[in-house]
Amino acid sequence: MAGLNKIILVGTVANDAETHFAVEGTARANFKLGVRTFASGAVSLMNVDIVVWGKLAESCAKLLKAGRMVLVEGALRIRSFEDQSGSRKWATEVSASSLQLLDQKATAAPQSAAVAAQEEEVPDLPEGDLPF
Amino acid sequence: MYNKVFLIGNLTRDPEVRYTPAGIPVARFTVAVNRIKKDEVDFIPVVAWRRLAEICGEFLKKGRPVAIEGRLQIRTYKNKAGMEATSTEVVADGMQMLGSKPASAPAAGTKAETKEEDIPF
Repeated sequence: MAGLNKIILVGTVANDAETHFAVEGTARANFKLGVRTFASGAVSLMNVDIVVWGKLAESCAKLLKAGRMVLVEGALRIRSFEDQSGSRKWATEVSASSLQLLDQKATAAPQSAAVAAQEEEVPDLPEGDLPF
Repeated sequence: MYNKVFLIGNLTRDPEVRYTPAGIPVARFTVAVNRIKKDEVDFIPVVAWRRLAEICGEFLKKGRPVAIEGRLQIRTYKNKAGMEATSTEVVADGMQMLGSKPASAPAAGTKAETKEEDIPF
């Protein structure tokens, strides 16, 4: 039985998306998505690695600049690997199947994923107030 | 900000239920989620709190199919060696048992409101 693995995150792009092309020409884009969470009154920021493949990855390079607010939909992947010292490490990433820009910027290309009519309401917190 | 995870998979083992020093129940288990491509599986750690933790501990068993709704939580902490490590888990808000019903299972899925508190671990 195929299971269900779906994750939906809204956050701000922490770094400009980097797009790479594999030998076969498949594009892959990586970026970090900063997601703020509110737990017991405290605000915490979580950086989630997002990986995008194919056509979608190509448009990431043009559109996903640091600071943009985006909705990411995809699958949660947790994998282990060995680092240089040979110790086992865990990596968490979201393999995105669709992206939607939530802020409206003049620079957004017309073929960008549908821009949501309503902007996500985000409390304006000065970075210095974050409890970490 | 919006942070939602939906999983359907099978438990890799029975949930482990513990209590915080304040007496709050915490259940931990891992859900194996099959990908559409055969023979590829994602293992996702899940944590449930309070009433939902008790229900998970009582009714969920190794191998049983389950649907989980929750949010993604990535934490960084210092491990025993003093190195920075990260832990990833899905904090469950809701759980629904799937598959055929064993004799003692509750009738329907359970949705418990769980608020996480600052707990020292």
